[in-house]
Amino acid sequence: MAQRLLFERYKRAMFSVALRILNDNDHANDALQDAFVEVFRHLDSFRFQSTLGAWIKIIVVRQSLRKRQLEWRFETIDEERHDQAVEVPDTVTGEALDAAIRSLPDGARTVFVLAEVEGYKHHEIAAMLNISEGTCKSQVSYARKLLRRKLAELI
Amino acid sequence: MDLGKAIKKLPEHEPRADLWERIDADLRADAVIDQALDDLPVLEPKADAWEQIAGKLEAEATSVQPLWARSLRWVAAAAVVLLMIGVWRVWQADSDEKVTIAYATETVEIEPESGPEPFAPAADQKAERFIREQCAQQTVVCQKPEVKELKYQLDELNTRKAGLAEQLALFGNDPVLVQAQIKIENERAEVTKELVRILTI
Repeated sequence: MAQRLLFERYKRAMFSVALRILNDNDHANDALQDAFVEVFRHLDSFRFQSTLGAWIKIIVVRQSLRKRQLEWRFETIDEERHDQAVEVPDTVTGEALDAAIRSLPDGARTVFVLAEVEGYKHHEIAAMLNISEGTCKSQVSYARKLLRRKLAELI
Repeated sequence: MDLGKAIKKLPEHEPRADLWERIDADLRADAVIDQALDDLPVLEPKADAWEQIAGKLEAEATSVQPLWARSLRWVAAAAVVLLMIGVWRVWQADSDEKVTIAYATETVEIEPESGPEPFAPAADQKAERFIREQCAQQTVVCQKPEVKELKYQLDELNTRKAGLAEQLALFGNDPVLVQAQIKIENERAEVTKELVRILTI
C-alpha cells in the first residue's frame, strides 16, 4: 500500500520533529497521526514546489504547534547571572545535545529546533509562531546560551 | 562646543579583561553544538501509529464534514474584502463630508480545495498609495507619533504578509497558514482604516 510505504519512509524524521517541538511523547504521537491524515487527505494538492519531505514536515510542524495551544512565553537570559565563560567538551554526542534541547524552555526550544535543527528561516518561523523576527533571533541566541551552559555541566 | 565635536571626543572604555576568553569559549561551544546537531538521534513513534492513521482515514472516508465549517474562512475573507472596500470609499469622498461606512458579511461558497483568493489587492494598493500621497502632502501629520507607529505596524504586517504568501505558494493551503493570513489581513485593514481616518481629519 503506497500510503503505508510513505508513512514508513518519513515517520521517524517527522516524529523527531514533533517530539522536539512538543516535548511530550503522547502529544507528539497525536500530532504525527493528525499530520499524516492531513497529508493523505491533501496529497493530490501537492504541487511539487518543494520536496515531498519538506511538504510533509511543514504539516507536521503546524500540527505540532496547533497541539501546543498554550500562549507562547519567551524567557530572556539574565546576563548578570550567566556571565561566566563556559567550556563545552568536544565529545558532546547527539544524544547529549538532544537531552539538552529537550530541557530548554518551550519558546526557546521550539524556535531553536525550527531554526537550527529543521533549517527554517527566521521570517518563516516568525510567521508560524506569529512573533517578530527579532524575537525569533533572540530566542535562538538565548537557546544557544542555555545549551552551552547545560553541555558545560557534562564536564 | 557643538555636539558633533563633543561626540568625537567621547572617551573610549576598556572592556573586561576576560572578554576575549568568553567570546572564544562561546565560539568553540557553538562549533561543538553545530557538529552534534548532525548527530541528533532519530526518534521512533508508537508501534501502532500506522494502525491509528489508517483507522482515522477510514473513519473520515465515511463521515461528512458540515458545510458551515468548510466555508467559515471564506466568510472571514469576504468580510475583509468588504472592509477594504469601505476604507477605499472613505478617501474617495471629500474630507469635509461626514462619511458613514456600512459593513456587511456575506457567505461566499467556493470550492474549498481551490486556493485562497487574494484580499482585494487593488484596494490594498489604493489605500497604501493614498497614505503615501497624503504623507507627501501633509508632512506634519505624518510626523505625529501615532501615525509613525501605525505606519511601522503596517510595514511589519506587510513583511509578515509577504512571508506568509511565500509559504502558501510553497506548501499549499495549510489551514493554519490561511488562518494566519486572514488574521494579518484583518490587522492590516484595521491599521489602514485608522491611518486613513487620521489623514482625512
